[in-house]
Amino acid sequence: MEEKIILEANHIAKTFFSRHGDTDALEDITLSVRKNEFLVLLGPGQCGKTIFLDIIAGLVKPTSGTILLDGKPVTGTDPRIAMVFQKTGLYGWKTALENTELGLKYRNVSKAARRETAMKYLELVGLTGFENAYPHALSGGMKQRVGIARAYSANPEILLMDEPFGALDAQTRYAMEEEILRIWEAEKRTVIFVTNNIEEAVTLGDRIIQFTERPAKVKKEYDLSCLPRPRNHVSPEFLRIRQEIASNEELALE
Amino acid sequence: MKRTNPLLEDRSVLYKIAYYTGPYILIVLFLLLWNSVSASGRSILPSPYQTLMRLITVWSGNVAKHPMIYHVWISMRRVLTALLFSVVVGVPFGIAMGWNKTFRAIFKPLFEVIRPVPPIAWVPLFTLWFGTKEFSRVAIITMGVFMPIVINSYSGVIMVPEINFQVGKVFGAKSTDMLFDIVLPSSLDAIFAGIRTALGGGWMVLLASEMLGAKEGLGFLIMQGSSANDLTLSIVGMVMIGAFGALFAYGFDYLERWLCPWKRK
Repeated sequence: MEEKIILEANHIAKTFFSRHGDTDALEDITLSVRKNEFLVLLGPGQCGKTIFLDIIAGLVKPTSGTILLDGKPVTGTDPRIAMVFQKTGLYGWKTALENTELGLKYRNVSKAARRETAMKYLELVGLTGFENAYPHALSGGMKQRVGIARAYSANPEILLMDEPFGALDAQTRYAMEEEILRIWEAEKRTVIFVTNNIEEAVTLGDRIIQFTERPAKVKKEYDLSCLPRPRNHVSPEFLRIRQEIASNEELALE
Repeated sequence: MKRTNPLLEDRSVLYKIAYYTGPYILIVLFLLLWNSVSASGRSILPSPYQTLMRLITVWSGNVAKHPMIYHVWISMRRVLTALLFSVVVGVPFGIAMGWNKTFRAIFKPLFEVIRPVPPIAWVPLFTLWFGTKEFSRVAIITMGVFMPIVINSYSGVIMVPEINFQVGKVFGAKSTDMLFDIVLPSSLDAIFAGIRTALGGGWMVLLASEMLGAKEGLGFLIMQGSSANDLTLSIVGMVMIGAFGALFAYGFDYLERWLCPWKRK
């Protein structure tokens, strides 16, 4: 199967220097991302997955290594990359619609055009009727829907999702996992999804890349293209992969 | 749509009665205490009734050559002029200090040295420089209201959560977008809190400023009552400052809700 590589990370390493000593967060991460795939980065808490995502987003500079987007190096933030944040990062002083328009507004798209785009994606995430609601009036799941609509509206090629459902209760989390797949099927984009939840990873990913403990390296890669969608949480194949990943997961020693 | 008070949901009838009558009961208790102190005869404190009667006379005729409304207006103008100046200059100054590292490095040390000096301490200097004119009075009140406004605007900007910047960067915010569309609305809460503190402080400094040869104003009336051994007049002045100060505070809350629709629950 021929697939186009959209993003490559080459030997990305990140060390934080401080007075109390240096901390290696990432140690030599090399991976490539295929166009329109749903890639899950899985690793234990605090392992540096978020830092890696921040490096792709251009929010953090790597100590060494390069990120190539469509074959060209990216430095800093890029309009082709948008992000869904774990803490949603919605602006409390803006309505759902205004939050959704953010990326278009800052890139000087006309008011009428950005309104149309934002309305389209608010509808896609199922928030029609809540355009004028302020974030404080929305539930946790609805807030994250706005976060997803905001990322989509910026019209990126790559969507980074940093544990977007990590703060939600289990019930909402399952619902949102189904939602994100529905949205992704409707509007295919390349998704890089970070999580520490194995079940979530196996439910969502075309491919899973497992990270080690800090300093993070790529530990193992799992191709889930053999698992049909929608995934059945109790099918033998699902459970087998889940079990395999779990046995490779390093438990933090306390 | 019927608006219900969330504080009162699932509360007993007794609680609801206490909620609505509590404030009035407290005021009545305060007046009773005041009345009993003045009736005990151990001090020359005028009773609430005497004060009320005086309040009526004072509003129906002239006091210290001017109608009461004139005294109120003059004092209000002093406080408001100082406040307006401090908002127009202090808010941008505080934001600049929080936003720009160079600006902060240059201005913060001087500002920190001037800040702890009580506003009233400027009275001798201002009298020497500007005489006992209106300008001196407004300048002293300004010294009192400027500081909290600057400090709150500054800390509002400093405390903008990091994620707000990250979101801005990812979605392509330029420097001006960051300042006006992200940092400013993020710090509005703190800025408003600063103005509210300043407003209270302004009424406090008013009295000191009207010691400077003023012939009108609420602070002047209090001083006048003190020097003419007319305690009732002083209390009338206190009541007026209390009443108009509270009116201002409520009006300001209303203004804030109007300016920040996202805070209306």
